[in-house]
Amino acid sequence: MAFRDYDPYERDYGIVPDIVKQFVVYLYRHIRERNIPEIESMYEVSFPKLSDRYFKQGPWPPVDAISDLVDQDHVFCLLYKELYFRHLYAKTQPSLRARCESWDNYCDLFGVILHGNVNMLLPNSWLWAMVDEFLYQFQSFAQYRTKLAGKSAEEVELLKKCDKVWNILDVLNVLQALIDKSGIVAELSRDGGAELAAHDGYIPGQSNVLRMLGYFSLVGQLRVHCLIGDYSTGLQSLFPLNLFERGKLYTQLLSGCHITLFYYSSFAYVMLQRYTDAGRCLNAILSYIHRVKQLHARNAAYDQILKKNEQMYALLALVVGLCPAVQSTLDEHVLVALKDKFGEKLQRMFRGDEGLFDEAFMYGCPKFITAAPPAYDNPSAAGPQEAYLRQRSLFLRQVGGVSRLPLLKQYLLLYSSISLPKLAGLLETDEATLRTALACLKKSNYCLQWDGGRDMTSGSFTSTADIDFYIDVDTATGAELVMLSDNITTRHQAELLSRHIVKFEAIVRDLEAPPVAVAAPAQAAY
Amino acid sequence: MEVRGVDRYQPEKLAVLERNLEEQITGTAKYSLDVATAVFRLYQLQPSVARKELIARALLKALSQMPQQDYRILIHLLPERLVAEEPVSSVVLLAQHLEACNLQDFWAATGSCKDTISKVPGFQDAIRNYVLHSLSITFQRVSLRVLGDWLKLDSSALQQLLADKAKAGWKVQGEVVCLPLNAFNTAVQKRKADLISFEAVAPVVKSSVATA
Repeated sequence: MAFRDYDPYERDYGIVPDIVKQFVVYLYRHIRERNIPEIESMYEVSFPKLSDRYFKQGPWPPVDAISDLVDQDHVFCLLYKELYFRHLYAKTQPSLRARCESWDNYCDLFGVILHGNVNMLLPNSWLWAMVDEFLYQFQSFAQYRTKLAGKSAEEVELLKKCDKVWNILDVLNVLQALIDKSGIVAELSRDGGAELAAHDGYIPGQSNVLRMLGYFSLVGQLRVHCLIGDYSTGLQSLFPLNLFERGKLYTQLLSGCHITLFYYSSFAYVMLQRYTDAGRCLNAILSYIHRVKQLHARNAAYDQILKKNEQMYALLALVVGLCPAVQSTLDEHVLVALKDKFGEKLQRMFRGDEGLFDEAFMYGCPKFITAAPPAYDNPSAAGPQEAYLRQRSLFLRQVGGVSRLPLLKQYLLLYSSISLPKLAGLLETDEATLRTALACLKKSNYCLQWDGGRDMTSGSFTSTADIDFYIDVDTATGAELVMLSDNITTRHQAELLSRHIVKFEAIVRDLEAPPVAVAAPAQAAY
Repeated sequence: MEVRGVDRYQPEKLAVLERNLEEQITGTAKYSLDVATAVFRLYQLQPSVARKELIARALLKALSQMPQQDYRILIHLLPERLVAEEPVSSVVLLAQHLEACNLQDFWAATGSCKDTISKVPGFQDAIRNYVLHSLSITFQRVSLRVLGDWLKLDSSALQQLLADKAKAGWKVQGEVVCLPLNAFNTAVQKRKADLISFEAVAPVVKSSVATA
């Protein structure tokens, strides 16, 4: 279902600035000539500049205004409309009509790519942005339609008719079709992405559009599944991408994609209670952002990257709060940054402060959606927050099971062995409750950890405890004893020391260097 | 039955998937988490076609796979309105007790969903296996009385069970049961010595060679 008649407002658009006309003509020409460097520069530099200068408050000219300039080329018009709607979503609150039109456009565009024989080349960043924006608009629509409170009766009527628009099954089927048609799974299984990395994603002699869209749809599927709470399928659908074998990942070159991939995977691992795996993923991506942050400082995406960075530190705080042993696996600068942001809060989390877990979860979680359309006739039934509240309550229950144990842990740390009745007396509970609590503590440290299996959901159970114990019965007296293991860690500061030594020597070298006055005339003589 | 790729998103296949799920529960088909996940996903999309008693039974079947996380995976998919009513709500309560290792409350609560449990053959045995497993990661030796309480078995049934498990390393010594030793219930003096890798000291070596 679509709303094909445009607004009267849009028909009398007015004059399209010359420079915008030029932009359109050149873009069209470069796409026809498959001139990737030029397309890339126009897409990444000229388009944002023109948007800022001429279209800060409103949309770009509608496609009818410029279609004559490009010989009414069907595919180019679809691409232009994709940019048009992306800008519209970024700058304004799109109306229901605009949302439906954008959905139709995406269907047409992906339809052409899937069924037509497309041999154009497009920059990979544009293809990633296409998938990213597609899913962002899907999320936005799902949230829009659950907000029934502020809508008039006719708007609700219109919404009811639009049940085919941004339907989750269609979205998932589109992604799946892109993956299947591009054959990306077979290709990656065959060579692990080596060819893709070698040619930077643009394999000569072929169109990169279908292949890269297939690749990015793998990440897209992970995202959609996480948004509805289906974490294990999300991780499975990433196959054959593997976050623990990072050398072969092409996404490292596209920070937006790389960050999305790791963010949703770590979140899935947290919800599946696989804290060591989540810690590993978060560590990898936070180090990555630390490295590449400066490169994007002037980019439009910089704010997004920073926001995701903060969210992932919140997730890391959750992971560390629930499984303190993860701290020893983090890189030093990640640990330092975490302590900076959450130092005192972490201490309170270790002592079982559930409110802080709630806060961190609220900040770090993605914007969940419910797959089903809302009950239009019953606006008070479920609000827009339904999906979020559901996942939050499940998470808090997970936390609640563990948050009462810190006091027990503190006592255990003091002893190398202690009898059960004595410990029960110290904690002011009875023995049965204590036995349950000890079993619960042991269980909470018994996590699944990825160990080289086929896909990211496989793994074997390991202990992630920072204090290890077991319960024994002394045969002589029949009394139960809790025996604790000794964990002796000899920590070496080698890396830290060598880094500081080198830095210090560099400083000394600078201080001792002769003043550089003679160099200038030597340069000029050249 | 494997549910991969495009099969995951076909609401027309719901009847087939439901039938397979029922067969898994009764034990005539091989257990596969994918099918339950696909069914629950489709239920989230159309809550009106959701069959609550099938959900309850599937959740029990997943719970019997503990310590695998199958139950956890499935419960995240269900929206509030599907878990708020019987018979699903009592199964959820049961699971909460089990996850908190509150076995007294767990066995007491099984009384309230007797019907659902009776339709999932092998549930109680699977849970007992899980309890034995979690005991074996926490205890090296445990008294018979505690074991009987946690497994909700009277002494003759308990002796029978232990006799069955004797080959796996469970030994009875008077009033005390010795559990098989494994990596989790033995005290290991873990000396974690961080080895100094060459990469860590290479810059120092390099710069000292340069200035030498």
